[in-house]
Parts: sequence; structure tokens; C-alpha cells
Amino acid sequence: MEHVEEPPRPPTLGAGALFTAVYDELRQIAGRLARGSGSATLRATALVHEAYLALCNQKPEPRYERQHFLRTAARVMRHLLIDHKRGRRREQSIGTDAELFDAIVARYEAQVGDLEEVEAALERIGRDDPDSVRLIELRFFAGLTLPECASAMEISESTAGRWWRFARARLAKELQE
Amino acid sequence: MKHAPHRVRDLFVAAAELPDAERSDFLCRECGSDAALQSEVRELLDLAPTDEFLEPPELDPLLPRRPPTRFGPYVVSGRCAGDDDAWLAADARGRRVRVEVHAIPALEDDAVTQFVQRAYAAAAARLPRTIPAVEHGRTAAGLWIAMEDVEGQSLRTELEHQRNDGTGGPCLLPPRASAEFLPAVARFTQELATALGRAHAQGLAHGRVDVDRVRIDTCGGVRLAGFGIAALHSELALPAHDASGLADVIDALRGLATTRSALAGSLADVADRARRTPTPPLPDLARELGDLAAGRMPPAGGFWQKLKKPFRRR
Repeated sequence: MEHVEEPPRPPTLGAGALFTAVYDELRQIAGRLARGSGSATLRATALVHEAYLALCNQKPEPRYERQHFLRTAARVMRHLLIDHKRGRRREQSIGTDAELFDAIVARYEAQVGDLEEVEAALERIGRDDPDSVRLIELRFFAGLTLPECASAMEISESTAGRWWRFARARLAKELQE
Repeated sequence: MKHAPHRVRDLFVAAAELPDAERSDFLCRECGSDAALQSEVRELLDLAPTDEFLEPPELDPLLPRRPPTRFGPYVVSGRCAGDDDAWLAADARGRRVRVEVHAIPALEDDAVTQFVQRAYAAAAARLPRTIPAVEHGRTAAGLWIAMEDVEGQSLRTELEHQRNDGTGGPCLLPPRASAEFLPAVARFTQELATALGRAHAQGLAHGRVDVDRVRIDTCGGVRLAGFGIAALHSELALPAHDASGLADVIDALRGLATTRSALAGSLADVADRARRTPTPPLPDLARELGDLAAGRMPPAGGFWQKLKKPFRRR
């Protein structure tokens, strides 16, 4: 059975340089989109790719390692959405792109239910099964295809497919409890 | 999760691939006396989330689609008629280009490298009857490619206009009902075969010859675009693909003719041979198409010979 070698622990929110850079970049891109400029289309994966290109352009050398970037960007997407949801609940000022993020959060919740409950479930799963959480971040939050997820996690496509089935069942079970 | 997560996952994925009837025996065998483990795996297997559960949502409808205003140094002036992903643009010196956007994963560096090598090699080779790429860049939507703007229209548009007998827009080849149509088709496809043959002689294959890549200029001549595009779509740009594309173009045009003639049959024969030959001799096919355009008899043994009798009767 194939196992993922544990990568360096991702930085906590606001601590890691790449995480912070991606977080800021994604917010800026979303802001540009909300103002009607920038990319013609909006998909989670397009946001991630645009952030990658923007960061590579800012700092061409050394280039960001692709798999590491994707894993980080996927985690950033998860945090962007949950931070927005929590900020809304606390009625904090959350920027000019608030309405766009409201709509994005609503789209995600239509697929999976309350994002705060999902976040709590992911926290619980992540304590003993980080592979499932990472796969959910890549596939669901970053919108990557399963082959792209496999590449980002450095596992085979067939393994990604099997693990995806398990991750879905695992999260569904956690959400029931 | 009460058990080692990898153990639960390994049992889950192994059991999930078995038919339902065999899962119980498998889990009993693998879990032994650990009833809790068996129960945990079985519970996960019995969960059947909806298809939508955890599918990434479509976000496109959240924003109105806004046309791009520029691609690198090129300022967009409008959309190319009949093509949602192509734009007319010009740089600061007024040089007009046509910009195509190809929705490929922006991180596929290998594909982009392959494209750049092939596209600019073709441009540097100054191949006749081709439209060279002059610039490229990336956006989140994919890769944009700027190429010389040639007045005329794509073969797809020409086919549509011919089918509508020119009511939907201008035909750049003679009308399909006219006697000049099929000789013009032979000449047009001869130019295409010649262009592809010259490319092959320089070690370049196109690989994606289709009705969108083949353009007709205002004089009814061929202009072939898109060298390197095949690499973006992970297609092997084998010479046989080029011949197959040539055959498709011949058949698409030939099929429009409203009158039956020996020339139509000969064009079908050339297309058939182009499609069936693993390493097609494009210069030979071009010569044969040139003969047909000039009204000369093709070599013995071809489709023409099967039509000898009606031909003689004429």
C-alpha cells in the first residue's frame, strides 16, 4: 500500500511566508475579480493558478516547488473561505470583496453544508489522517482534478481515486457525528 | 477514529473494490476478532454520500464574463467573428494580430515548453502558406498565442457559408454549385499538402490540422495556423496526423459539391490514400492534387481508373 511521505508541516495561518503570500495574493485576485478586472473566468483552480503565476512573476528565483505550492494554495483556499464565514458571523469588516466571497462560500456550502461544521470535522480528521484532509483541500477547496491532486500529493492516480472515496466517506461520517 | 487510520483506509479501499456479496467475508477474514474495526470499516462502506458531496463548485456564474482588454503588449479591439476564444488586437505600433486563448492547465510547463519550441521553430522556418506565432503569454484562463492577422476566414466559416450558399456570409472559394468549385478545392488542398510537406521536410509536424486551423485568405489561398498547438493538448504531432487532417479537409470540401463528377471521385481517392498511408508522401499528394486542379489525368491505378468508363463517355 502506498503511503505519502509526511511533508514538512504546513505553516500555521499567518506564520509561513508562502502561506501568507498565497493568502494575500488570492485575496487580491478575488478583489480584482470583484471589481470586474483580471481573469475572464472564475474557478477555484483558476484562482490558484493565477496566484502561482503572480508569485512566480514577483520572485522568479527560486521558483516555488509546484507540489508544495499546490498543497499550500489548497490549504489557503480552505482558510480564506472559513475566515470569511467566521468574519461574517462576527460582523467584522472583511473588505471590498465581501460580496464575492459571500457568493463563493454559498456555492461551497451548497455542495457540502455549513463550512464551519466542515472545518471542525476536518480538524478532527486531520489529527490522525492528514492524507484525507490534504486530498479534500486539493480536490474540493482548490478545485483540482484527481490527476492533479495525485501529482500534488506525489501518489498514483489510481491511489488518489481510492483515497478520495475514503476521504468522502470519512468526512460524511464526521459530519453525521 | 478508534483504529490506526491507515489500517482502516487500507481495509476500506480493498473492500470497496469487491462485489457487495464478498465484502463481509473479506472483512471477517481481515479483521479477525476485532469486531470494532470491522464495524468501523463497514459503517464507512455503507455511507453513500450524494454525487455532489465534496464536488468542487462551479464559480463561473458568479461574475459576468468580461472580455479581456489586452494580452501582453496587444490591446484588444474586438472578438473574432465565429470564435469565442479568439480576439483581434494590435500593439502600440499598430501591428494587428489575432490572439487565441487555449484553456490548458496553466501549470503544465512541459506542454508550454513543447508548444514554444514547435511554434517558434515553424515561425523561424518561414514556411510558405503558414501563419506564424509572434508572441505568447499566460493568463489564469490558459495560454494566449498572438499570430499574424490574415484577412479571410477559417475553413469552418467557409464551410458554413458554402452550405448556406453564401446567404450567411461571403464564400471565398467559388460557389459549390459552380463548375469552378471542385478544381478550386483541388488547388486549395494542393496548397495545404504543399505547406505540410514543406514543414515535414524541415522536421516539423503540425498534428492538429482541422477546419479551425486552416484559414482561407481573401484570394482563396490556404493559410495554415497553429503549429505547436497539438503539444498544448498533449497530442502527438505525428506526420500521419497531418495527412489525416488533410484528408478530412479534402472530404469536407468535396462533400459540399452539389454535382457528381469524376473529379469528386478522384479527390475522394486522394483523401482515402492520405488517411490510410502511415507515412504519407505529401509532396506526391500535392502533385496529384495539382494535376487534378489543372484537369490532368492522375496516374493509373487510382480511383480515377475505376471511373474510366463514365469519364470516357464524357
